[in-house]
This record gives sequence, C-alpha cells and structure tokens, in this order.
Amino acid sequence: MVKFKKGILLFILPAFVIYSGFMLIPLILSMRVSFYEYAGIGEMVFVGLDNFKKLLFDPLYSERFFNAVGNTFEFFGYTMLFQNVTALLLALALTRGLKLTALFRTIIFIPVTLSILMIGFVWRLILNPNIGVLNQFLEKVGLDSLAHAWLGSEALVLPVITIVNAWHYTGLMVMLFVAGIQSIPEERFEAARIDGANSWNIFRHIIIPPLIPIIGIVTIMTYMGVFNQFDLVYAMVGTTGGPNYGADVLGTFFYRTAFGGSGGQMPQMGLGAAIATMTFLFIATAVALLFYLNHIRAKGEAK
Amino acid sequence: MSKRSKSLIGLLVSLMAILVIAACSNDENANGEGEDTNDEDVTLDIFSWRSGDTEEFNEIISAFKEEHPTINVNFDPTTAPEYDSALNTQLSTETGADIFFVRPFALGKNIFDAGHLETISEGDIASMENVADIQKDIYTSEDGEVYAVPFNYVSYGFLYNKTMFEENGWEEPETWDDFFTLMEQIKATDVTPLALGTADGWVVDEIVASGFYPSFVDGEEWRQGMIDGDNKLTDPEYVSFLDGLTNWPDYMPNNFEGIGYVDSLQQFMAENAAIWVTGSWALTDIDADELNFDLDMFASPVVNKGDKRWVGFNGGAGLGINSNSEHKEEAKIFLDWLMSNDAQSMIANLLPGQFPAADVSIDQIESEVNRKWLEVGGEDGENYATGLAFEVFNGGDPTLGTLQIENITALLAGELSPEEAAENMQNGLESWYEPFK
Repeated sequence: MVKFKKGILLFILPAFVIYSGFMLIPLILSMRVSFYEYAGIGEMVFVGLDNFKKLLFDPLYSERFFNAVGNTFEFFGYTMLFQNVTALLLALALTRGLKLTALFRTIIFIPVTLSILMIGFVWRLILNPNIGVLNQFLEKVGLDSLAHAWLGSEALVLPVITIVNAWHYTGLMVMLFVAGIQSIPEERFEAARIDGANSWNIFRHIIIPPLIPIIGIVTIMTYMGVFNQFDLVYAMVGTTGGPNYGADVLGTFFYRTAFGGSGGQMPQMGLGAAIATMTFLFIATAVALLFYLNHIRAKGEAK
Repeated sequence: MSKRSKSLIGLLVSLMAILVIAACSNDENANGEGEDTNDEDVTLDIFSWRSGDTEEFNEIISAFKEEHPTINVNFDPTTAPEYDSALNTQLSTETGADIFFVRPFALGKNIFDAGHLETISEGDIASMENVADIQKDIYTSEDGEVYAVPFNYVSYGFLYNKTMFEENGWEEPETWDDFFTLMEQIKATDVTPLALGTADGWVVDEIVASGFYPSFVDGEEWRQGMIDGDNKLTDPEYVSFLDGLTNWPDYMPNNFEGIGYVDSLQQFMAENAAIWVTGSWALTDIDADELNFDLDMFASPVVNKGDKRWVGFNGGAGLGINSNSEHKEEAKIFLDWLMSNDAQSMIANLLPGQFPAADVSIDQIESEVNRKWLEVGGEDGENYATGLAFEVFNGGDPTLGTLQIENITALLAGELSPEEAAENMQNGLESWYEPFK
C-alpha cells in the first residue's frame, strides 16, 4: 500500500473546485428542480415525485418520453453501425501501408473540425427535397423514385440524421482505432502469416483482442454522445423533433419541455429537470457497467 | 486528522462557498455599462426578440433622441427562439432590461403574474388613447390592469407574384371555389401554386391553422363560443375548414413534408411558386429591392360570395416596463413618444407588415402592399379574428398549438381524415379545459 500523502490534496484542489463549481453543484441544483413545479419564472412549488410520475405514467408525457428514449437507443444503434463499423474498416485500410494514407487520414478527419450548426445547415441544403443536390442527382440519373423528402418522412428522418452525425465523427473514431492497431507489435502479424493465417484470422485473432478496450471506449463515447444529442437534431429539424416526433431524442424533448415555445407551450422547468435527471441515470448506469466490465477484465488478465 | 489537512479542507469549503455565492448573486454591473455620461443622462435598455430589426430600431431611436437628448436608448435584441428563456433568466436574477418585448396573451400574462411588469395607465402614457380596445385586451389581466403597451400586430394572408398574375391573366379569388379554380389555372403552367411546407411545426400551427379557419366559422363570435365551451372543434363548420385543407397538398410543392418557412420564402423569391402562404411580417423578411417582380396580397377567401371577409390575426408584440427598473419615468416618456402618431407612422413604414397598434392614417403608409394588407383588417380592425389557440387554448397541456401541429400536419400528409383530426384536437382540449367538462 502506498502511504497516503496529504500534500496530494493540494494538487487536486484546483480541479476539484472548478469541477464542483461548474459541474457538480449545477448538477445537484438541477436535480433539485425536478422535484418542483416551476415555469422558469415566479413561484417554485414543491411537488415531490410528481414530475417523475407524470413522465413515466401519464400518457400525455410518457408517450413522448418513451418515444424519445426509443429514438435515442435507435440513434445509438445506427451510430454504432454507420459510424463505428465504418471507422474500424477505414482504420484497417489506413494501417496497411498503402499509398496516400496520410492524405486520406487528413481528409477523413476534416469533418470533425467543422461546426455542428454549419454541418446541419449544409446538409439541410443537400437534402432539400426540391433544390437539394442529392435529389437533383437522383433525378438526373433517372432514379426519381428514390428522391424523398429526406427530413420530412417519419421513417427516414432518424437514419438520415444519424448518417450525417456519423459523417461528422467517423474521423475521430478512425484515429482511435488507428492508434490501437498501430500499437500491436509487428512481430505478431509476422508470426501469424508464417503460421499461414488468412486475413480474416489475422483480423479476428491478432487485431481484435487488443482493440477491445478501445472498442469499449468508443462505445461509451458514442453512448454518451447520443444521450446528450441535441445540437445536430436541432440544427436539422428544430425542436419539434421532426415529422410526428420521428427524430425526437431525449435532448430535444428536454429542450421543448423545459423552455417551451413550440406550439405555444409554457416552459416547464421542473418536468424538464426530471427528463435531464433520467438522462443522467441512463448515462450513469452505462458508465458504471463499463467500469465494472473493465474491472472484471483487468482481474482476469492479472491472473 | 492532522491540522494541515483540516485547514486544507477548510480552504476547500470556503472556496466552494465563494463560488456558490458568486453564482447566485446578481450581476449589479450589467445595468450600469455605458450609463450616465453626465448626471442627467439616462440610458434605457430594450430587450427584444426581433434581432433582424436592429437597424430599423436604431433609426426610430435616433428620432426619439432628437426630441429627448438626455435619454439614451439601447436596443439589445436576441433571437426569437432564445427570447423567452433569456428573459426569464434575466428577470429572476434582476438583471432585466428597463423595457422588454412582451408576448401576447398567456406567456406575457405569466410574466405579469410573477410581478415583473409595471401596470400602465393612460395617466402615465397619454398616447395609449390612440390604441384600440381589442389591442389593449391582449395585454390586460383579469382585474383589468394593462401591463404592456401594444406595439404591433401581424395578420395572415396570401402574398403573390403580381407580375406573374398579370402576365397570365389570373385574378385574386373571392371565394374558396374561386381559389381552387385559380390553383388549377396556375398548376397548368408548371409553376407551383402555393409555396408552403409542413417541416416547420410553427408554420402549420400559426399560419395554416390560425390564418384561414375564421371564414368557415364566421369569425370571432364562434371563437368566443368555443371559449365559453358552447362550440367544439368537431362542429361541422370547423370540420369543413379541415376538409378544405385536404385539397391544398395538390397545389403545394412535391415533398412538402420536408419544406420549411425559409425554403418557401426562397421558392417564392426565385419565382418557382406563384403564391406564398404567410403572415404580414413577411413584408419585413422579404427584401423588396432584390425582387424582379411586383408583390401583392389577398386575404383569406370566403365560403359564399358576399360573406364577411375575416382575417386571421395574431397578437404580435407588446412593450412592458420592468417593475425593477430604476428609470421607470424615462421609460414611460419613451413609450409615450413611441405610441404618438408621428412615431407610429414612421414605424409603419420602417417595419412593413408589423402593423402599429395605434391609429395610423392609411395614407401615411408608403408601400402599396403594406397598405393593402393593413386595410383588409377593416378601418377599426373589425375584420380581425384571433387565431384559435392564442388566447386561452395554449394555457393547458396539451396546448392547442401542439395539437394543431400534430393533427393538421398529419391531415395534410393524408394520414388523418378531417373528422379524425377534429376529434383528436377536441379530445386533447377536453382533457384539461374546464368549460368543456
């Protein structure tokens, strides 16, 4: 056991104060609001667990809430597929020592550096049903039947937004995977090849096992990003969550409820805070699960 | 625990306490900047959601400054979607501006009820006598106290490409039958008749649902009956309005589900559509100098020839005085000046389509289409019928606004019949509105 040095506390202090001031205290204060009925102005009335009851059992709110939770998980699923599987494949391609690797690595990373509102705006133009590039292209090549109101269809709006989101962040995930793959010692690949392993076997037994911690991090980053998702949905379809709430995620549902505005709705800060608290619980559970799995894995390796 | 670690924890706790106090205390300086160039000068801040109108407001303010050199006015707007939450934060931390824009009906009353608005009487602001009662009612509490000066209002209608109409010999419709005949004529020429889409919920709620129902139900009296609980959305008059709407999609752009307000504006400006279904504020949004064609408008058609021509109407904006302001007297002087006849006619021309609430004589208005849009409201505003949702039906949950977005969007998409849409909306209101119970 390392002896606990009290001096260490002094080094933790600045980070702790800043973290508490800007994260911990606001978080606790906002959780407190979830026990009140509060229109953002005027009186705060203590209502106990009423906001949570409404959210979970009153059809007027629960229908929207579970729709938003469902959409958020769908968003997560699509993102894992469109963003992370693509990122892994690109990372494999970029670590094979092909020509122009550095150039492609830069190109793939460029979208990550763009502002999200700009991305939303540009993609809305591209996807515009009548003057958008995508539909015009489809019509030019004779595929008129494939031209849709991409953001106006309840079935398409969520997948389309997740594709744009994936386009934005794939570069970041590629970097993580590339770093992971490059840290695998070259000798292992050589040994495998000498033993006559084919590409699939190399991928399955040489590349994947050391990548598991990175896959875990990418998964949890994606999960947290999706549960905090608001900006891109807002930039592309606004706070009403797209046609018939087809792209309404927890972030937009929270915004609409807490700040009001759409459809003449009054702000309901208390109910909004309850949604935020539920979102926090979803994220906290997943992070705790990840820590637990990491712990088990680390124990297993130590043996 | 050693002394040192104790003092360390003490330090930590006190630092956190400072942070909390700093976060909670009011920023006293926020009102003080740029203030008082000499002892008698006063600066009034105005908070608004019309960030696009800053230039026009500065022109208004410099005219005021000529008459009142000791009062500085600072127009400090934010964007419309941010406005309500920003205002609430400012008011609850006592950093609000001296004068701020007040939403019509329930949202504004909410702020008055929380005690942030000064009551306004004709004794303080003499030029309030220029304002019609229907305008004052929008900002009057149950006890008859007026809490904001009605500043402007907007109404709904059809803005059209006059040049295109003249070239093709099309005429403004009087009845809805004429309207659909016109639609067929326009459609035959490969131009989209109506620039309108359902991607923005507020377009459906505000423009479509509030703008064109009055001619089917014969206006204000029916709306009043609905407030009293005597009329319902499932009444045949209202269902016939929804029934009429089901014909619109044929004349809207392809894939209109993905078209929003700005897309419609662009489509109309690019002459890909002949008529833009919109509100009078569009005259400020559209830059008339950049158009290659003339503009004109027609109001909502009627069911039978000779019916009263109702115009859908929205409360617009009021101006309120912060009850916490240190310069209430100066704020009253400014608002009194703003509501005077000269200032109002200046505003009418600077902000076309955002009609001044005070009496302005029609010939003081320069732009023809602006004048026409104002005139269709009638000399004393007798043709105006307020949008159904605004006054009371947005006051509970689900709001009529939300119900309109959900059901009329689905109606236009062909997913609901008029009867189903009406029943859904009526059921939504019956779940909370007392007179329906």
